[in-house]
Amino acid sequence: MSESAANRTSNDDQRSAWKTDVFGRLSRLCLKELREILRDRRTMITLILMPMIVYPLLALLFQRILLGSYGSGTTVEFVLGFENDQAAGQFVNLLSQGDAALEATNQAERPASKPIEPTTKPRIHWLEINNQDAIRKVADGSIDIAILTNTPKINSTRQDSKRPVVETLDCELLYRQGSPTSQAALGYVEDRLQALNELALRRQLKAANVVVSLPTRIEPREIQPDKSTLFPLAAVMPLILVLMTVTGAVYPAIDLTAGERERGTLETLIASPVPRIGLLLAKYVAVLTVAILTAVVNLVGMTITARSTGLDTLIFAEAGLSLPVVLKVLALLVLLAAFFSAVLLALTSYTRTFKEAQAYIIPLMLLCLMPGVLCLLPGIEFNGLLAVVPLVNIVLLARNLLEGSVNATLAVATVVSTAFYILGAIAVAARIFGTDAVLYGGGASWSIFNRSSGQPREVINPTIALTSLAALFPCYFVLSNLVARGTERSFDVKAILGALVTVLLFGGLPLVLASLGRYQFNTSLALRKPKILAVAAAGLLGLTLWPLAYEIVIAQQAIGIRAMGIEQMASIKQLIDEIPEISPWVLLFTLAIVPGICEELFFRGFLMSSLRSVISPFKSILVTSLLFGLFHVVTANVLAEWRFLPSTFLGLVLGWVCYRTNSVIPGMFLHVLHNGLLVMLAHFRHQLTAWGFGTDIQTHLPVSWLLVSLVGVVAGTFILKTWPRQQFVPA
Amino acid sequence: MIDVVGLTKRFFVKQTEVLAVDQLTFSVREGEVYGLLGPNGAGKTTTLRMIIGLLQPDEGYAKIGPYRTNDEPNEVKSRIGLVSASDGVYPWLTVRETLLFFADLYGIPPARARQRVEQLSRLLEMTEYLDRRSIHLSTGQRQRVTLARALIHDPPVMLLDEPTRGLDIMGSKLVLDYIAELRNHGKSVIVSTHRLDEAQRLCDRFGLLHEGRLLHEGTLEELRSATGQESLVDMFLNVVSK
Repeated sequence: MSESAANRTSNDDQRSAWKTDVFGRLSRLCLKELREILRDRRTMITLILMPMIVYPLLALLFQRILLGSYGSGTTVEFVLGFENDQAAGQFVNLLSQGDAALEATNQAERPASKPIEPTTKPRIHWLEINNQDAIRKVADGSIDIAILTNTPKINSTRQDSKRPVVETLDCELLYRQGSPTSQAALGYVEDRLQALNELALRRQLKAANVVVSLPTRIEPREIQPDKSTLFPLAAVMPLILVLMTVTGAVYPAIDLTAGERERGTLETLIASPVPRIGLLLAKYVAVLTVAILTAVVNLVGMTITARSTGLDTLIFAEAGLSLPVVLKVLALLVLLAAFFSAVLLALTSYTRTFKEAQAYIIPLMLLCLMPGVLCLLPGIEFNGLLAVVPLVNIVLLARNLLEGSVNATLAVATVVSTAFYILGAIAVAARIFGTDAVLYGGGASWSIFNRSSGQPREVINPTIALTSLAALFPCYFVLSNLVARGTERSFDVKAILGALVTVLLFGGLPLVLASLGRYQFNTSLALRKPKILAVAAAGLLGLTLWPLAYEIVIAQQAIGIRAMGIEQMASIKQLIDEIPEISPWVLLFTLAIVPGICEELFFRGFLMSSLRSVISPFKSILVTSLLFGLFHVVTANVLAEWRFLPSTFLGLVLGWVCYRTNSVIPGMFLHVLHNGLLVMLAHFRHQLTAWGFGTDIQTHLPVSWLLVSLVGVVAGTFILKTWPRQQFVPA
Repeated sequence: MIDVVGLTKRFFVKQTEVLAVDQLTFSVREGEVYGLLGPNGAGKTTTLRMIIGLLQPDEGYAKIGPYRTNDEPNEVKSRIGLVSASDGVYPWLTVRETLLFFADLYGIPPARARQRVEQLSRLLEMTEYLDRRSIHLSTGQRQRVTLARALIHDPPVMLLDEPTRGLDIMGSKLVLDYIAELRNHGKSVIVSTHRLDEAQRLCDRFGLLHEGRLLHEGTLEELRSATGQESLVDMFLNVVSK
C-alpha cells in the first residue's frame, strides 16, 4: 500500500473517532482546558488569594457594623418600651439607683492604684407600648427591650413594724435574639437592677432579724426575631454568592474564548475536525468547573472566617453556618455557576480580544449585582413573575432558602427556567463561537437566520430552536399565571385567554421564526401532507390512548410517586363540576383543538424537526417528550408533578407518530382527539353516569374499557409501524 | 488532490464591498509543492482559510480528494495540516502536551501519538524543550512546534502560511528541508510566503496573486516565458507595478 493510501485509511479511522468516543474525547478536551486555565497564575489569584483576603476584610467590616456602636468614642442609645408613664418613671428611677449602686460597688472593688476610666453612659429613650404589641416591636427592632411590669406588692407575709417593707417590682424583659443592641440593652438593665438588688440585700442583711426581700425580680424572655427585618446580613449573602461566582467564571470565560482568539490558538482549534459544539461544551465545562471551584474555596473561606469570628450566629441566627446551610448554599452556587458560565461564554464567544470582552463584562457584572441588592429591599416577595426572571429568581430563592421558607413551585420554576436559560445561552454561544466573523472580524458576519444563501432553508437550526425554547418557557409561565390568577373571571373566559396564550406562543413563535428565517414550512415545521391511512391510524390512537394515560396517573400513585394533592384534587373536581355548565364548543376549541394543533406545531414540528438534524430520531423523540412533559408540570400557579409521566408518555407516542408519518398533521389529529375525548367525557359526565359509564377520579377504569383501548392502540401502532415511512431528508 | 474552483470571497469594510478573492481556480497534485505568491492583501491567507473551511466562500468551492469543504468540513479538516500566520501554541501547556492534545483531536491512538511526537521532535530538533511550557519558548522554537502540530496526524495535504516566519537561517533551512521531504512522501503542499528566494528553491509550481485574482500560474519556466522576467522577484515586482 502506498503512503498516501495508508494516510487515507488512517484518516478514515480518525474520521469516525469523534462519533465512537464522544464522551472520552469531550472529557479530554475539558481536561486540557482546565490544565491550561489552572496553570495560569491569574486564575490562581482569583481562586485562592481573593478569598484569603476578602473574607477576613469582610468579617472586619461586619464586626464594625454589628459591634461598632459599642466603640469607646460613641454614645450608645437604648430604646426601652413601657406600658405607661408611671411604669417608665418608676423603672428609670430604679435604674438610676442601680447605676449609683453599681458605681459604688465598682469604686469599692477597684484597687486604689487603678485609675478611674472614663465611661460613656448610654442614652436611654423610652416609648409607650401596650402589652399586645410589645413582642412585635421588639421583633421588628422598633425598641431594644420591652419592660412589662406587674403591680408592685408588699413582699412581706408577716407585718412587723421593726422590719422594712420593700415593694417588689416584677419585670419581664423582652429582648431580641441575635441583636447585639438588644442584648446590650438587656445587659445594661440587668447589671443595674442586679446592683440595686444586691445593695438592698446587703442593707437588709445588715439589719438583724429582717426577712430578706428584693426590690425587683427580673426574668428575661427571648423573642424570636422578625425574619423580614432582622437579618439584613443574611439578605446580603446572595449578593456575596453572586460576586464570588462571577469572579470565578469571568477570567476563564474570557481566556478560553477571546484569549484564545487573540493568541491564535482558536484558529488551529477550529481547523481541527472536531464539531464546534464539542469544543464549546468542553470550554463550558472548564469554565463551570473553575467557577464552582472558586465558589467552593470562597465558601470554605467564608465559613472559616465566620465561625472563627463568631459572626455566623449573627448572620444565620442560632444555627450558624451549619452543614445543611452550607450544603444549601453550595447547591445554589452550582446553579449560579452554571448560569453565569453559560451567559459569560455566550458573551465572550462574540468578542475578539481580551479588552473587548472586559468592556462587555463590566456592565454585565454591574447588572448582576442588581438582583443581589434587590434582596436587601424589604417587602420584595418571591412570586411567579420573579421566579422566571433570570438571576433574580436564583437570588430570591437563595434568600428564601437561608430564611428557611421555600415554596416548592417557585423553586422548581426557578431551576427549570434557569436550565432553559443555560441551554439558550449555550445555543447562542454555539452559534457564534468560532465563526469567521469572530475569528477574523472585518467584513465577515454571523446571523441568526443565515440568510446568505438566498434559498429557503429546510430545517431550523437547533440553536434557534433551543433559544426559542428558553425564551418561551418564562413567557408561558408568566402568561399562564396571569390567566389563572384572575379569580373574578369565569372558567370559559380563562379557557379562551389560555387558548390565546397557546396560539401566540406555541403556534405564533414557530411560524414567525420560520417566516423570518425563510425556512420551508413543510420541512422545518414538518407540515407535510400526510397519507390518509396515517391520519386514520393516528386518529385511532387519539381515541384509544386516554385510558392508558389515565392508568399511568393511577399507577404512579400506587408505586409511591406523588399524585394529586388534596388542593389539586379539589381544584380538578371543581373544574369537572364546572365543565358541564360550559358550552362544549368552547371546551373543544380551547382545550382540544388549540392545544392539539399549536403544541404539536411547536414540540414535534418546530423542535423535533430541528433536533433531528443533529441527533438521532430516538433521542429527538425522547428530548421533546421530556420537555413536553415538563411544560405540563410547571404551568399556571401550581406544580402539577402528577402530569409529568402521562404527558411524557403522550409526547413519546406523538413523537413516534411524527417520525413514522414524517408529518406533524397526524399527531395534531391524535392530540385533538385525545384532548377532545377527555373534555367531552367530563362535559357529559352526568349523562354517562346515568347510562352506567361513570367512573370516579383515582379509581381504575373498567377492564372492558382498557381492553378496547389496548386493541385500538395496538391496531393504530401496527398500521403506522407497517406503513412505509416517508424518507426524511435532512437539510 | 487539492482543487480550487471559482473561489470567491467578499468582505464588507465600513459598508464598502472588498473583493478579497476573485474566481480563483487552481489545483495541486499529490507530491507537489505549490507556491501561492503575492503582495500583502493579495488574498493568499483568505484562500488558505477557505480551503480548510475557516471562511465560507461566497462562490465556488475547494475540494480535498473527493470531499468539498462546504459539504464535508470535518472530512476536509482531518486531511489538512495547517500552519497559520499565528503560531497557535498554548502558553501553559508543554510542547509534548500540546502535540498530544492535537493528536487526540485528530483521533490518533495514544500509543501512536506518543511515537509520532518523538519522531517529529527528532526531525524538527525539539527534543531539548519537549517538556518545556510553550510560554518559555523563543519565536523560532514556537514556529517549529506549530509545524510539528500541523504534522502530528500525518495529513496528505499541508497548508503553510509563512512557515519560516520568525526563524533564523538555520531554522528556516530545517523547515524548508522538511517541506521538501513532505513532497517526497506524496503530500500536496500549498505554501504562502513573501520569501521569494525560498519559494523559488522549494516550489514546483507557482500562482501569482494580486488583488484577489490569479494573474499567472505555472512552473518557473512557464512563468518566465509568460512574464518575460527571469526571477520570481522581478516577476513579483512586475505584477505589483501593473
